[in-house]
Amino acid sequence: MNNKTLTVLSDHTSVVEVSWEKSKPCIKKSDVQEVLGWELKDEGLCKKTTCVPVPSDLTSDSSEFVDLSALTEALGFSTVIDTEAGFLAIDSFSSLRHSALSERKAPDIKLPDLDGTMRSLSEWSGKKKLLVAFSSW
Amino acid sequence: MIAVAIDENVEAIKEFAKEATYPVLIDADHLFSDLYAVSNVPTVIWIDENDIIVRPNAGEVGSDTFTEFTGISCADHMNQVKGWVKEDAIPDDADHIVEDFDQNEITARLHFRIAANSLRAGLDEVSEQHFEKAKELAPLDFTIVRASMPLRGGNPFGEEFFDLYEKYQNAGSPYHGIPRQTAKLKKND
Repeated sequence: MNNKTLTVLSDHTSVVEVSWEKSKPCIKKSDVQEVLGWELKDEGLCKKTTCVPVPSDLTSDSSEFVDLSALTEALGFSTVIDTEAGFLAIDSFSSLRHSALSERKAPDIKLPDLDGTMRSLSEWSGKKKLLVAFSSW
Repeated sequence: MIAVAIDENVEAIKEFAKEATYPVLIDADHLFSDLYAVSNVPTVIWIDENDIIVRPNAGEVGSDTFTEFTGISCADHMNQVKGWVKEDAIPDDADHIVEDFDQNEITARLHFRIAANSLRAGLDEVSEQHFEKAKELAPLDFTIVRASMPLRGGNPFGEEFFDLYEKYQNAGSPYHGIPRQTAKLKKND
């Protein structure tokens, strides 16, 4: 665990400074929002008007770093970590996927087009959309 | 129509889609696949003006190139699409509830993500370990097992594909979407 950086793969990819404590990846509290999309506050992890409680020692601790695995656990995200190579993959889509499958709400997603321009499905809101997933394999 | 390429090979997709008259999005990290529970291609999803999925994941094709293999004809789907666009007609199979990924499939996708990203970083051994783990956890998911074949030096149209297809059919063709009968595929086809 010599890695000084952790590559976090979720609905986006971020590379942040990491300090390993007993195999737990600790990242700067100031990086939490960029990595998880949730802000670490005294109340817990917050996004817009929603806050999810986290173990109190995580917020009260004066340390600059926080255990990222405890935060993903609090949010109920499945994860896979490679501590040697410095990768953490997070399934941050579970609730959106659930509402897509059970409530038929089409979640928005941003992806690059052939020119590398980022496009959102929401650009085609108000129109009927036929999505075709294909591949070269 | 919006095409989404679930593919790491951006150059191959550019060549493949260079004459496309519709938007082509590239999903090299399988985000779309993870979000919409797409476990094979081609998969077609109908979404209405209010961003409601009116017909979920279905294995449909745009041409009859593979009809002999798949038992899927493109004409039926084209007629259904025309009926939807012109008259808001929705086929009876559209109320099928697509099953969510189970925990093994979710974990497999996370391993695949690490594998693809570590490969891009030149960490071949790390990548290989995670591809193998992903395959163990979701052995019949084409967006994991078949997608990883070219990334692992294999051939997605070769012997290992036919082995995968045989296992898939023997398991009852599990697919996250509207189920359908698939024709038997022979190795010498």
